[in-house]
Amino acid sequence: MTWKKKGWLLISLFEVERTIENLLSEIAVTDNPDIIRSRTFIIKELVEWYEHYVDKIISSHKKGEEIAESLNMEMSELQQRFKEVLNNVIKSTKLSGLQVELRELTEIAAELEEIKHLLTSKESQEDLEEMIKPLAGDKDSEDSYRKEKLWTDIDEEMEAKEGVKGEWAVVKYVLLKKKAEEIRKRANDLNLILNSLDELTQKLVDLTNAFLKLFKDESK
Amino acid sequence: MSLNESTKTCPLFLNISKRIAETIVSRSPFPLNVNVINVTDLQQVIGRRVEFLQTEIEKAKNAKTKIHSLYEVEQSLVDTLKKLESLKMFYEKFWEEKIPQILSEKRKEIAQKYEETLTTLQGEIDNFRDFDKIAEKSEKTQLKIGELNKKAQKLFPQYEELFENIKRLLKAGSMFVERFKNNVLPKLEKSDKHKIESVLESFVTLYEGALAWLDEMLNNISEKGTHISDLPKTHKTIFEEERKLREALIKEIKDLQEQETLILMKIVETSASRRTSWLPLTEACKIVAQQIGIPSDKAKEIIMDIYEKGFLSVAIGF
Repeated sequence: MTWKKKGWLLISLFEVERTIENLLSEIAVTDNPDIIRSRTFIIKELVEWYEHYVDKIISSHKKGEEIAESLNMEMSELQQRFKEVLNNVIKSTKLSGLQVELRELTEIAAELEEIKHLLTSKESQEDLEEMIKPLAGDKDSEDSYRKEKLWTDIDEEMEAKEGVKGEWAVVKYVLLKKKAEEIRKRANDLNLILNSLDELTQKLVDLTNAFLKLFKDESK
Repeated sequence: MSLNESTKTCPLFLNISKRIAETIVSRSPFPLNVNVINVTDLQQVIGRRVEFLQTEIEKAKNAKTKIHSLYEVEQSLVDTLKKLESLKMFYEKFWEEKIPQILSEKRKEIAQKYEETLTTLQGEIDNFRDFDKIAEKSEKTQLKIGELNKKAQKLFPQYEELFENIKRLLKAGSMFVERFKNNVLPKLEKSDKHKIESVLESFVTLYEGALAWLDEMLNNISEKGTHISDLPKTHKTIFEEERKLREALIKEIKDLQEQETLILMKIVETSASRRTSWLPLTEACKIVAQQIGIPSDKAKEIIMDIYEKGFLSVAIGF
């Protein structure tokens, strides 16, 4: 995806490849040195960009996998914490077989699946355009903050290594990052509530034990 | 009626309290058929559960305090009934006769009412479902048992009073010895005073020993609730020993004839039991006549003989 303050455009790699091939074909059939020179220049530029962009895609995919893996671990921790909370409730009631699921955990798990899906799925260009619109705005609309919305850590890293090579973004990575941020925020919020629930259910266990102890020894 | 632990009201209250606590605890905090819950609802459910348990614990503590108060009163009643039973056993073994029926009936009536309270409670207790009810019922039971306890406590001195006669007899016996030593012994001239002193010492040992034993037995019953099974002493063994000592004393006194000695001992004994130095002559004659089994004139004659021998003084007045 290439973008500017005044709008954005989604260009597939196949399109770039086709363009290069077309330019090469032109060179192959012409004797005009100006055309050969100009097309050669464009091909060189496009190939450079292609190489740079493929590197960015590879980095983004790798980073995306890392993010998914990290979220997966956080998700497991949350599940484990909820299990402990539920265990405290079971301990406090002395009931076995109590099975309750937490809606937020189910929702976060579903969102995490969406991230994993983004890493492997092949959406059409139209679908991708629809998906990025809420973040990038309409294709032709002006947005002073577009760069902030589409600039990622991968851009930071590559800029540091190779300098600025145009305002281009990997759409799926931008979408994945946005989704991951949302999941992480929900997970953090849930984690805080689980902290308080952990205390509350521990209190519940203590109260239950104190309650049963009141008459336990005396009624023997 | 059995007074063992299983028939007391407190274990009934404690057992039902334990069951209620277990029932309350085992109630699921979640509404029925809830499989999925959101975290805010979960927080509310747990929060409500904590508040509910805190309230129930306070109610349970209140009920427990009431049960403990009941326990104090009930334990006191049970102890007193046991002590009354022990005193009854002690009395019946010592005197070899039943205690007065009125006392026996009063104790039975208290025990019967206690049994009825237990039976009524046993019939109701399984229907109790909350700690407020337990607290209310244990308070009412405490009032009932408290009334019974007061009655039992009042009865206790009446049972102890059953032993006052024998104590008075033994104390009078000691006083007889003292008076005999002070007033008769110095006047004896033809008798072996050492032997007589030895017999008198045996009297003292008998009376004081029996009195101390009685006090110890009564104290053990009232303080420790000691159960009475076999007794080393009864009224028969004490009186038999006393009879032998009297015979020995009479035998040792050579200054008087046997019957004179016997009558002198009766007079000393009577004045000692009345804690007085003087007896009206007419009354002394009457008592001696009755107890020795001789006519009053004869008794007067012998008393005058004893007086002539210097062992008695006869007062003259207007």
